Amino acid sequence: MQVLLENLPQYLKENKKRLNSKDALHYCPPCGGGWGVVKTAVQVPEVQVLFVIPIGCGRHGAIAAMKDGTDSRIHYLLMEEVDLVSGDHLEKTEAAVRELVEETEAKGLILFTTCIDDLLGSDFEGLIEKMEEELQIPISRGKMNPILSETPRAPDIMVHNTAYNFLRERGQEESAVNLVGCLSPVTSDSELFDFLESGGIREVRHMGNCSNFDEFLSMADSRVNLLIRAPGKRACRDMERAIGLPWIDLPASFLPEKIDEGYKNLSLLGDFSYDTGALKREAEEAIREIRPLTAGRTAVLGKTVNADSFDLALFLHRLGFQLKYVLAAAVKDHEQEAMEILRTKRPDLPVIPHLDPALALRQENSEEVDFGFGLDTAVYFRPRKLVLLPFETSLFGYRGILALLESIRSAEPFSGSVKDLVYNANLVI
Amino acid sequence: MRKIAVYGKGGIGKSTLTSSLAAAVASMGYKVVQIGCDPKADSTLNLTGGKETVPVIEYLRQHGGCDSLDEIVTWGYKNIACFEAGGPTPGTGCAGRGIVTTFELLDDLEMFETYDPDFVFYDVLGDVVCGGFAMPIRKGYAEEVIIVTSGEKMALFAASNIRMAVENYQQRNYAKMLGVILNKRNVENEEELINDFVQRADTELLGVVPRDKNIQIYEDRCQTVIEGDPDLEISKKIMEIAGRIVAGGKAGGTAVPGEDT
Repeated sequence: MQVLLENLPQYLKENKKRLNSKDALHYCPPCGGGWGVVKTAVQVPEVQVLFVIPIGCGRHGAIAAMKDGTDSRIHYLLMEEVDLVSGDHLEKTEAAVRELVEETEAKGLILFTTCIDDLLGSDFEGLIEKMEEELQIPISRGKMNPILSETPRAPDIMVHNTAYNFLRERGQEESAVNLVGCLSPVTSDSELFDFLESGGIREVRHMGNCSNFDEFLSMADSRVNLLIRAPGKRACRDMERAIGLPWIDLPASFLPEKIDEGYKNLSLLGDFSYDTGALKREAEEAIREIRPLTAGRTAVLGKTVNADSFDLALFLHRLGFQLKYVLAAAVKDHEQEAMEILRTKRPDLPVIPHLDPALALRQENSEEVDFGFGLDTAVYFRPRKLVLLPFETSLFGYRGILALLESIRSAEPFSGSVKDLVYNANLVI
Repeated sequence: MRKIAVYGKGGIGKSTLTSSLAAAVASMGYKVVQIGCDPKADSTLNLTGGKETVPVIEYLRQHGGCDSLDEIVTWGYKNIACFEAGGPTPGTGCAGRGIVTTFELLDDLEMFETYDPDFVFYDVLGDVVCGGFAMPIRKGYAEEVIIVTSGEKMALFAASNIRMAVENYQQRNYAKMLGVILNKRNVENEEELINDFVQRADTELLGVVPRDKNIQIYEDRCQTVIEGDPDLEISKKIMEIAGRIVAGGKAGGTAVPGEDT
């Protein structure tokens, strides 16, 4: 059910931080895929991935991997009922791991289990310890367990732990930092890199940019983790505990005051000579210039957009858009402030949980809006223009604002098959 | 910090004994946590004066999540922090998973770091029947296991089963046996049977708890005998066993027929 923004805090109180009510029917959206645990895990270069699963769970990940071209690194050990009940699947897993490591000469292995082993409480930690000692390669446990989607150990959070669990020994490289939490690397033209370089940071690492396993492991030597998106927070905390790698919260935002705050926090690391003032003024000027195009235009903000929902919603409101709906999954901690500001300005704004079954009733030829942000808006509404933020890179900083404004300015009238668009974007699975 | 899991056949007196030992250790001045790993959620009633601790699973059912230890802890005798995993009603759900969920929540809420106890007692339901119930003896949780048994055949069978599970896990450097406590049922040749089991299991006899009506009397008042009357013979007996546990299980001795070790 949609919730008006003025009632959102009460709604959240009843449903914790996730917007979809746990007691209601859920909807499986046609563009609910994208950055799943499989796609995220194979970002770690040169590791092989073994799924220990019933055949049904495996099919979903296999198709996603085939579409992404990563299926050659993904392997399956299929389980049957008697395996699970007897616990034999643990021994079979050991044999499968040995075979896989021998055949592929893997540098590392990610061992994925599912909801079933969560329920059984299977001791894969012990198995992994034993296999690491025997095979002398690092093995990390991954969990494809949507049963925990509504918890602090949701798979989209824990997959970061899975990846960074390989970082076990810390060196010291003062001139390198890591970007964590964003599944896709920050766009290379972001001023973040100039800013960091001005303070002597010569290398900015992201796991998606590492060309081999050793390069990925060198992330453990970096000076600090910069947390760009919230799902990486737990991994940052655990890395700090495990190997003493500190972290700084640097959330990606489209709000100039938040971007400012981020760079101020970063300045605690040392002396940075890069002055963001000019770029900030350029972004503010560009915001003023685009208003004739955006003011009073209707818009819908979708869930698939590569940004934090309420942060972007507030920004779009400030651009003068008449937001008609926001589709979202959750309100993250660092979005609370943005949500509260938006709530005072637009208490009547409907927020639709992206798994709400009411969305199933919306057809492609339903409500017309001027702008749709995110591919899912083309599924449920009829946007005259569709604005898609990049999926394989993450916008950051003032140049992120400028890129977004350019996307709005250059958005073409939308026509064509929504279904094709969704399939081609690999968002179905 | 020492973390001790207490196992034994259902109905053998684990919860009664675990809470008595917790009370005894706490009365020596140590900080103690007791975690009930049983859907019945009755492990800590004798420590809380009968006040029911909100079971973790019940809390999660009602609230969807838990952000604070304060919501799920009850403070008992001598400031023992009492937690109950809880679980499903009989015939439904998965109690083993309930234990996993509880442990993960306590980890997420940083219970060990926050309370920094000297002793943690895990009171675990019945036999080791699935992965979830073995959770307390896995890495990061209990490092020592006590088996409570009587001389009855089925109790010893269960004890042997638990011993086997601990032995399997010891190969992975998980919890090791601390010892056995005989909770007497006054069956024939009970002491010989226990001594034989202890020898075969290659472990220690931590002590013998004689049958004593005072345990029941104080349990009806939702108290341990330690709290109820520390001068009772049974209270002193339990204090002795607690002392051995605190000392690391040494000087266990053997059960002597007709005498209480």
